[in-house]
Amino acid sequence: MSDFEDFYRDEFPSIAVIAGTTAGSRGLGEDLAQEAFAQAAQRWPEISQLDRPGAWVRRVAINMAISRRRRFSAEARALLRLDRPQQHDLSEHRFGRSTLWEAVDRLSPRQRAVIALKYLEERTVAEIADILEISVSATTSHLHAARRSLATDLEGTKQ
Amino acid sequence: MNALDEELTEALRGERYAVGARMLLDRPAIANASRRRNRWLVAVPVALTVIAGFAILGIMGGGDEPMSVATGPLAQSDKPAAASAADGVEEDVIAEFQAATPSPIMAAQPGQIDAADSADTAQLMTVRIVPVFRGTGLTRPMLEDITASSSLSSNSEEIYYVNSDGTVDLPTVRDRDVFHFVAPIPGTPDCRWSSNPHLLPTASGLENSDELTELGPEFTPICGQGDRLPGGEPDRAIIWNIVFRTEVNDSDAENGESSGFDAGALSVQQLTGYESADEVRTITPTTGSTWTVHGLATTSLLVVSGVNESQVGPYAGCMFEGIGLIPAASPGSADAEVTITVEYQCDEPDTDPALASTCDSSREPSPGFDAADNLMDRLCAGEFDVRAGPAYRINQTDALEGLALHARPDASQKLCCWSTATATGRSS
Repeated sequence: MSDFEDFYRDEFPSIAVIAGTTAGSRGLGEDLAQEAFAQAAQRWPEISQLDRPGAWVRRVAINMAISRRRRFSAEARALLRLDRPQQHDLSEHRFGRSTLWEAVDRLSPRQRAVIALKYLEERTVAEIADILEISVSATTSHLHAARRSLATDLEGTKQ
Repeated sequence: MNALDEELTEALRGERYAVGARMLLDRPAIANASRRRNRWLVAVPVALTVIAGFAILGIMGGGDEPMSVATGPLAQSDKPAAASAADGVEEDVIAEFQAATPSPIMAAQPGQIDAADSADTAQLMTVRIVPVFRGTGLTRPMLEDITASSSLSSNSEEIYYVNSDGTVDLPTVRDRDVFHFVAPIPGTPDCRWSSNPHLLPTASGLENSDELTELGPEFTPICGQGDRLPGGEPDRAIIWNIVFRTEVNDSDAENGESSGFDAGALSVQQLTGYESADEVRTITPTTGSTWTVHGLATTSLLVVSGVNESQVGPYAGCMFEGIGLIPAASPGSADAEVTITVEYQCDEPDTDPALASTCDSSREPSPGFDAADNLMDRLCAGEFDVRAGPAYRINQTDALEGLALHARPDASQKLCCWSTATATGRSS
């Protein structure tokens, strides 16, 4: 299991941030990364044989982040209907300008995942496409759309 | 890398640094997550944490100040000295952590010489792009869709993005750097707008100059390895019939779900590249649609765009854009069949079209949400076969009002959603 421990220690911070960026919360990202690693651990003999186990865990964490966000949306609507406030407090201090993260949070989950993989890990478009299991053209489209949206949102907010 | 790129990189790396620090300093967040689901997994970093935790406490001197990513102890330049001063510290542990969580980068400013000033050091120079597009009738990209790459760059992945105002920061390598600009043509992975190469002025020649250098790259649509497609120039009208069929490039659909088109749901609101531009037509995906067009004498690209007018389905209401290669027409040409691959441009980020399309939003789950939420996890995991009508026992104190789950299983069983159907639950 020692190779898994090394894998966990090396990869956890990045995957937590990718999941957290996708889900919109650093804390939630840590939880999701933990869950993804748990899945990897349970199937480690199989996962460790993959060319890139890290890509597998990233994909799982991102998918869980997207699913979790979908669930939050449904939950928020239900709570609003019941006149109860949303219980999930996703506000937290994150590194950098708050307006940047607010703009990032307005992106679609898939766009956020692409942004995190691109700018956190400096991955190529082909690598991102492989991790997300989408086409290169779709990845490029997501990246362009995300950057355009961020540029528009952040215009005039520079201090 | 422009300011946006730098800020994103810095923020994300700062986050990674913070998470890495929490691995060492703040056990509860990770421990709690583990305790809920996989208690044993928390043991993985425990040894590292205990050792380094003592070290960090020693470094911080027991202070209660929250650790700043920028100013935290591990970000200080005296890390090795501090670490060695702490009892029981293993320096290699600290070094390993530092290597895994690099400090936020420093942002280079336009015109600023890179700190690693070497013979090949790039000097950033801001230029303004004033693109010229050859050919008519093709969707022209937004300025920020245009990217630049250097012919001399040792890293072929290096891409420079044009800002919405047309400016872009390009590194000039001595006086030999040639830049090439490209932009995607939506829906055509093999085609792109491609510019002629541009030689930038020498960086030294622009020093102390406040004026932006303008570049006017001339773009031409290119497909494949570089065959140029003229793409415009209406020739003498050659009227012929083309059967258009459509297929969707939905590889970017959430969770890999596939939708396809709803027959008759697509109104083509823009048809460019032909004299019959702006004609609104409907394409029936299954049978195609025959249009009589004024053909061109050369192979060309046809761009269509419109809205999926369907009320259901993952792409309901989404804009789409498609492009097809239209063969050259000539007198006596047989009718041609063209398949247009369209790609949706859903830009409503927080709307989940898959959820909206399969769940009746007017029928939200009633109280008991959390209980059913757990069921949904198990359902998505394939634990239940909902069609068999299993009996659920729900630990739920609130009254349930006909709460049930509706699953839309796909191949990967990733997509489930809510519905208030007819099944009943009971409180315990």
